[in-house]
Amino acid sequence: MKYAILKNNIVVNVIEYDEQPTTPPPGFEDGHTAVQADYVSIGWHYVDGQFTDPNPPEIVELPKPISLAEMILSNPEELAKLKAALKGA
Amino acid sequence: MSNIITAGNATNNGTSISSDTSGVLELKTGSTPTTALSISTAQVPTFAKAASGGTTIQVFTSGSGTYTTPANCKTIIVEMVGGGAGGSASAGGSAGGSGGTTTFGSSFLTCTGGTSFQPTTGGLGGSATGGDVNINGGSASGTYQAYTTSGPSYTGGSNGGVSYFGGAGRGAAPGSSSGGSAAANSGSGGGGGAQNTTAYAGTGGGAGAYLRKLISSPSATYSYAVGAGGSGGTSAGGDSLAGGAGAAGIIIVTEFYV
Repeated sequence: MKYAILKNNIVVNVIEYDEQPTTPPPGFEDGHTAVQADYVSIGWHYVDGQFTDPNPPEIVELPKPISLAEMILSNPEELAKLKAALKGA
Repeated sequence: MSNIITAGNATNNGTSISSDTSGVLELKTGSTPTTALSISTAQVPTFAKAASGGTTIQVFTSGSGTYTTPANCKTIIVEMVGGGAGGSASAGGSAGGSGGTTTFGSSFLTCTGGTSFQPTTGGLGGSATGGDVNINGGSASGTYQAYTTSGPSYTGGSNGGVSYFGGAGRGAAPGSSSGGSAAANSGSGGGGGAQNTTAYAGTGGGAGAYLRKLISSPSATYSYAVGAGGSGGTSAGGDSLAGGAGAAGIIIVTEFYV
């Protein structure tokens, strides 16, 4: 299982152990604790039993995909060029 | 049976060297050969084979603790890699978890894990410090939206970033599959989840960094920690497909006694 290694309630590492490690975990100095967490990253905060990302990713609204026909029909200039090209063909 | 080597005319001050099965070596000279030099078996130097166990190896695949240098060990070579990040999920799902940092001697040698992004940016490889050789982990490629004349098409997730040891998780095939997990303890990233129909595919997680360090006259002990692999990004439901898990890192210590 994965454990977040905490110091001052900030995740400083993520390590796998077979069972709950000691406090401090083996090889770590005093002041470090280990809390089981399957989904966590270094730098996250641990407050009131919850892990939170202090820098959550910005949600970018990507344009809704449209078809090629929709692209042409939505642009009168391109549509006119297409019509002219078809007449000349 | 004896072996004899002669030089010159044995009847006129020649020399001969002989040896027999007992190991006695004799140099004789003169027309009436007389022994000028005799080397007994006890005087012949012997050369023993080197003692076995000239090198040993220790491998750490998880957890943390204290490495103890074996008695009479003169030199160690440490190779290690950080944890790989999980691949991101597609279509509004989350990014994968970052890989953990692998350390040896606290901050003496460090290999950070890979990171994961969402939605279309590929995961970034980790970096290493303290080694004679430091190699950043491989990053994953971004994803895009593909079109056909009838609308958006299916797109696969990108592969995970590759570590020094290989073993990255494969990007999900276009359609309805999740990203693949990286090979155990490779430190590589997990693959991104596939796009289904109306959104963007997930990206692979970055790989952990690698280093190699020769340590002459090593200390008696070193603390160590093996970075865990990051979890794959979770699906948001619907067309969203999960990312694959990143792999944990590894520490390989080769110990030399001569």
